[in-house]
Amino acid sequence: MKEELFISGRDIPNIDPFLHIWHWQIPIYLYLGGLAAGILFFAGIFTIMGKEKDMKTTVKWAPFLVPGALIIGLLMLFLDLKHQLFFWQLYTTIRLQSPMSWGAWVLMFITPLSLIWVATYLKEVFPQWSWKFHFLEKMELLAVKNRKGMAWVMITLAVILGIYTGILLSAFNARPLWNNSILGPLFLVSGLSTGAAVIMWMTKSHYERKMMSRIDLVLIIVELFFITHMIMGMLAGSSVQIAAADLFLGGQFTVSFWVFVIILGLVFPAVLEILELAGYKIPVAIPAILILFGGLVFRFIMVEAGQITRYLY
Amino acid sequence: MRYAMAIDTRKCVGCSDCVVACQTENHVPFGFCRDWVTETVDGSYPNVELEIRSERCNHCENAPCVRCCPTGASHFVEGGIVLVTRNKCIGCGACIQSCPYDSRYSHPDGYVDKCTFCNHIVSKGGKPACVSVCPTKCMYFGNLDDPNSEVSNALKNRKHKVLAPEAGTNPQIYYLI
Amino acid sequence: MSEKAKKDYSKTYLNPYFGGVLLGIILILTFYITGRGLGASGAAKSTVVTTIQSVAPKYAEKSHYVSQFISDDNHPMNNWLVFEVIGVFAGAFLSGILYGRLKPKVEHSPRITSRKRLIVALIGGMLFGFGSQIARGCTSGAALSGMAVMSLGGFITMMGIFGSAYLFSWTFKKLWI
Repeated sequence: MKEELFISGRDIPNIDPFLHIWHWQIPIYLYLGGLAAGILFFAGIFTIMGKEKDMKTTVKWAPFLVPGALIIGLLMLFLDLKHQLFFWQLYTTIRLQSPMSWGAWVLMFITPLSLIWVATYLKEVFPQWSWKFHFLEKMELLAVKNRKGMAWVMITLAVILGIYTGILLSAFNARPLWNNSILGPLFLVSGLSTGAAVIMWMTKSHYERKMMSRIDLVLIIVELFFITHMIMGMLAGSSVQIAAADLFLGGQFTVSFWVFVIILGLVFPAVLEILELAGYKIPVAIPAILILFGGLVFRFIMVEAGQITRYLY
Repeated sequence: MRYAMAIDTRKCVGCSDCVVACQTENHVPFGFCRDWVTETVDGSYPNVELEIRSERCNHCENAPCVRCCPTGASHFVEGGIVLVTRNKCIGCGACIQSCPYDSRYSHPDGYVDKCTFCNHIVSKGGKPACVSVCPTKCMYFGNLDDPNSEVSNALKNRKHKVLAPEAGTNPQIYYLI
Repeated sequence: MSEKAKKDYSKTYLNPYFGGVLLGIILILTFYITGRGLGASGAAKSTVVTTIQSVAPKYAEKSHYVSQFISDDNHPMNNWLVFEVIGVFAGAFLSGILYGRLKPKVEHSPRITSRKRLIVALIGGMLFGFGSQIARGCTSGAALSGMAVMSLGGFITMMGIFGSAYLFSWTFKKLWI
């Protein structure tokens, strides 16, 4: 037999028997961060390519969701803190080795940028809108003239935000499920895919829907490759990593992962998109909702499963 | 100056005096502990092996908790001891996630807490509470850079191991086996 | 690329006898792969039990019927039938797309209104839900899968369902034709 026990009776809340210090707030924050990154990335890239006229929802309307998503995400992050009165300490220093510090600063820059982006399009939604002060009118003109520049900054920050949601987890080398470098790109692609799904759902233009639907299909296939890569990498790793992979291959997360994330969240929407490209009519809400749902469940599973995996005991 | 601890697993009887001494000395809240005793049993009679270890924060040289802390609350002080500055800690839990030894916990007051090698005593030349109170005197604490210290001698003369070396943290608590 | 053959497949249905044989083959495969037969009302029951448990947990614990399905180990929705029914929805959706039958509509006799059809459907559904829990299964679970394993209860349920349907079909003829 092989047995390891705490004989001094350790039972610390949230640490024993399994680590469970991050609860539902963190997966929601990671999800909203990825979603915002996806929408902003597409808004930026189509602006740079000069396709604002063809991709109106992508460039103008979908970004309206982003400030709200980011603020709710930040609120979730704030709620998760246990020493909330000191949250401002995050902004007194940049620690390049701590992904959490990166995230705090990226969010600090991308939230106002997304607000400015949305503000430049406010006049198109509310024609009577007028900035009360003259200097704000001037700033709006300045922003509108520099949209391409803003777009470049926006896609850079969006990619950093998307990758950061994954790197945040992969930096914790004590959690074998998370400690692999594919997690950053995986969460980025997942975020881009959820952003594309939202745009695909919101748009009324047939051309735009087709374009985003094709892009989403490619992103889903890439995401499936990355997930395969992640699991194969873990199975080829040390025994703690194999134990981590086993959580998805027969362990407690097998059903929810394969049914909700892979089949309902990725494969089935991909099949529906392929059918759509082949000419069948599909109500766009269904693949969009499935992709959004799959992304959310994926993050919940990753955060909870990761805390269960460990090196010792 | 590199503080380290060497714990003789053949002399430890699992009395848990170190646990209680630490809780008393450092006013650890009820229900929490900064150190704990683990017993590992391997094999079956008559080839049974038993190992008793008193574990705590390893004050690693390559501490992932210091690396991951977004505010710098987790930091190194003189001797390689890892401490947490309470009013810089935001309670994000990143350090707890990054510790392979599960040695950190979230204090009810909000900040993250753990073993400090009794820095308030050690910086004045004393020994940590757990080391002082051990009835079998199986714990050695001292400066690894000093070739004549208790710790250096223990490591020279005995076979020793660390916990989870594959995690790459370079821990500074050595278990004499 | 978009509008391929404008051929309308929406009135093309599979030969019912062939469909029955396919269903039988699926039933055999289900028994082989999962060790149990098909079903449907169990998923509805799981949903009801979960709803009762979240809305009125004390009543759920006291009720003789509902408490059978609540356990600390396993969430009532975490069972085979729920996932089978999710698959049924997905497959039916796919079939609707491929044959152009994906339209929100109420199918009813031209002699009655949609509203009457829906009310009658609700009443019929309630009766069937009640009956399926008394018989511990519906047409797929008790009747079909039960008969497939030569269960006496399965045969009786099948005779009950189809018998009463024949008996009352003349009375409710007007709802359909």
